[in-house]
Amino acid sequence: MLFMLTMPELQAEREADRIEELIARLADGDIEAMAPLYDLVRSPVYAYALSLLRDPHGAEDVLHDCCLRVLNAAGGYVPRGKPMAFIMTVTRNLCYDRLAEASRHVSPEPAEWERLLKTDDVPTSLAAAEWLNTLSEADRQIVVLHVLAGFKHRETAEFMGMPTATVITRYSRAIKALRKHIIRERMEN
Amino acid sequence: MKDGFEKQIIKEAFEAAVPDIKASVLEDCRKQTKRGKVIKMSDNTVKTNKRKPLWKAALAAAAALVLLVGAGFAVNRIAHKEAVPEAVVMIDVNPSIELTVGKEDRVLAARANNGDAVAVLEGMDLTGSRVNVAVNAVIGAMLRGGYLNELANSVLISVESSSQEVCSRLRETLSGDLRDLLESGFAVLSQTIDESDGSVGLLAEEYGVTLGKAQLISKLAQANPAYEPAALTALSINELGILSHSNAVTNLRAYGESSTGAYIGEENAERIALEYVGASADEAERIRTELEFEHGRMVYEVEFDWNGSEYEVDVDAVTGEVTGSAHEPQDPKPTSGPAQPTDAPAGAATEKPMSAAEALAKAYERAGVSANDAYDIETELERDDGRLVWSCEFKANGREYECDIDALTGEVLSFESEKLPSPKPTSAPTAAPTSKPSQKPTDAPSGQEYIGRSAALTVALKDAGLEKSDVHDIDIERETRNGVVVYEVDFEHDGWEYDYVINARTGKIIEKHREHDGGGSGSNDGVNFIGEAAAWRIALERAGLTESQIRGREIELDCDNGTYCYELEFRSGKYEYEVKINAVTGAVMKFERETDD
Repeated sequence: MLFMLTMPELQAEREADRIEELIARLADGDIEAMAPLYDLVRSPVYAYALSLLRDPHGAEDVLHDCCLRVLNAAGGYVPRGKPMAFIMTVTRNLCYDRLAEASRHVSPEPAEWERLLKTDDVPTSLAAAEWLNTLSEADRQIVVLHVLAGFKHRETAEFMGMPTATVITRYSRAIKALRKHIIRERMEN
Repeated sequence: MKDGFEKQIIKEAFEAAVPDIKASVLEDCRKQTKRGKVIKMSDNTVKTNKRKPLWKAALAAAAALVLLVGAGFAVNRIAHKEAVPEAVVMIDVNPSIELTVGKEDRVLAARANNGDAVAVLEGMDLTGSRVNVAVNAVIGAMLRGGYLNELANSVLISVESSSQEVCSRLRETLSGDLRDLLESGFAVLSQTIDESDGSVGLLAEEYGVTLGKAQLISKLAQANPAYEPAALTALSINELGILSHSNAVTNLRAYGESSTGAYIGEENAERIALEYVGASADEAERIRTELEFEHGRMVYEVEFDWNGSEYEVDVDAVTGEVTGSAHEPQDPKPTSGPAQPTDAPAGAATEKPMSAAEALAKAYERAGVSANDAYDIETELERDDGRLVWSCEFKANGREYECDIDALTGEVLSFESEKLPSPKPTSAPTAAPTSKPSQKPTDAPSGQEYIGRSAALTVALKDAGLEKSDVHDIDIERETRNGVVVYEVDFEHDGWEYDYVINARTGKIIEKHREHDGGGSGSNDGVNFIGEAAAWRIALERAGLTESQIRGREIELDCDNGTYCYELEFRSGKYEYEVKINAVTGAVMKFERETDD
């Protein structure tokens, strides 16, 4: 039935296989597997942490700690073809730990997305930043899980404990809003 | 939704923001390994671990791998409950409910997939009950709620499990229990979710339909390539049930017949079709009627022979309105009509073909249209199988007509008319629903052997070097062009639009065409737009004008169905121009020039 899969799906399956292979190598004590694993997960992990924490230092720490946790947990990981779900769960737990920690202190104002993204280096990200400012935390998670972590909407729904239809609606609404930001920005320039 | 461009923007924005901490991560990982903190696999995890055979398998074993990966899914989704789920049973009517089933077929959880389902499940605790009891309770509630009735009597039951044994057992148990339901005139469609078919999940996601419905749609579209999966998503389970009756859908068991009570019925459709062409019931022969899905609506496709021609009339199944008709002469059996030299001798070329105006007059007469009412008129003199033919196209009174006239004799060779899309619905005729046992029409009429839509698609795909799984937005229509019956096959692949015209009898490619629509979602075209200046340059070049020649210029960036485009408007001389340019590729998507009134 392999021929029934579309190309992006096939790529996703291959990437999932690749990540599971790297986790298995880590479990076998092959530390060299961390470098390629880091490259595969750094964007989704950092983006997700940034969405939740809105603090670049915190997100950086989460990325660092996530890699170490995956290394530690590699031996107990049972491959089911969904390694990204495992990695994002680790990421979310780390974020929650930090948020719980932060709630005991006076938390600083969450930064504006123009400062969280490198809008000077990547001009196209200005529209993205303006748009991210308008999104709710849940919507940001939905977008990041789908676009960066490659979750299907159904997987996002499971991960976030909401109905799939809600995830699809919110995602479509968010993308439509981004379109407006892109168009406005391009027309102004 | 088409969101490739936006995804690219989001990805780039985040990826550029990720700090480079690879070195410190690697160093800390090394330190940690040295401290021996990495937990080695214990023996018992090795036993259950399918890891090694999985990735050591060569590509040849990839199918098995996908299957295993898929198999893990149902179990994985509720991994943290104490009870182990064995299967998921999905019940779709319009309310869509998912029951997670554990050991001894007990329900572990019930989930509402849409608003209607929330209403159905309200006040119902199904946890712990047997799955057949739960399914009965759910269907009972759907009946009471009016979701199931004599006009919409179909229930779709889909079973998803990693174990085939569990699947077949559940399907058996449930269909046995639904016998009572069937006896009261309901229809049950039952299927097993094929988890290895990833496209089903995508379809479900993209159109917000349930997995069960998505699979049924996908199987229907496989059975009949003329169906566009996206269009089918708008249909109800009952309508999908009707279509699955007339198409050989794999992996679907259907019990009972889906209701056609909401439609005007075959007899009424036939009456309307015959009246439409002016034939009486006695004169028409070989009447064949089938419920079909065309251009986004359910229609009765009525085919019959009359007056030496073979007719096809589409009648809207709900309103009774004629939505399209076509006819062509029956195979070259000489009819009792005026003696026509079917194959003009070579010397006939000395005869002078009639003028376009004369041909049009014939076409108007055939259409019953006055010349004053006709607009968008196009005529072309063509040579078709050695004879000169005037191909006339025009619109009038809300319909579009295509008529081929023999340029020497004035004989009408083919005539087609189709309703133009109109915003106002016509009122439904008061026709009582009839429930005549459906007569399945036989295949292609004898002597008119067409290769069929799927064969036409295969020819086109082969020529394009593509597989069916590579392409989307497939559209296949049978039409008559210059007296030749052809299949028009359109599909898209990776941002390219393919157009084929294929002889319906010989399967020969008559015409082909490929065009880039610039909207390819998976491509890495980068995220930059060509800019307004470039858009103006392209538009002016296309119009053959210079900047000084135009006035009243306007430009706007828009997103049309996921594709960003510049919409330009300007005037020059007595003309008004409207141009649409793909903002990423610079392709001209629309170019219109009209007289500026």
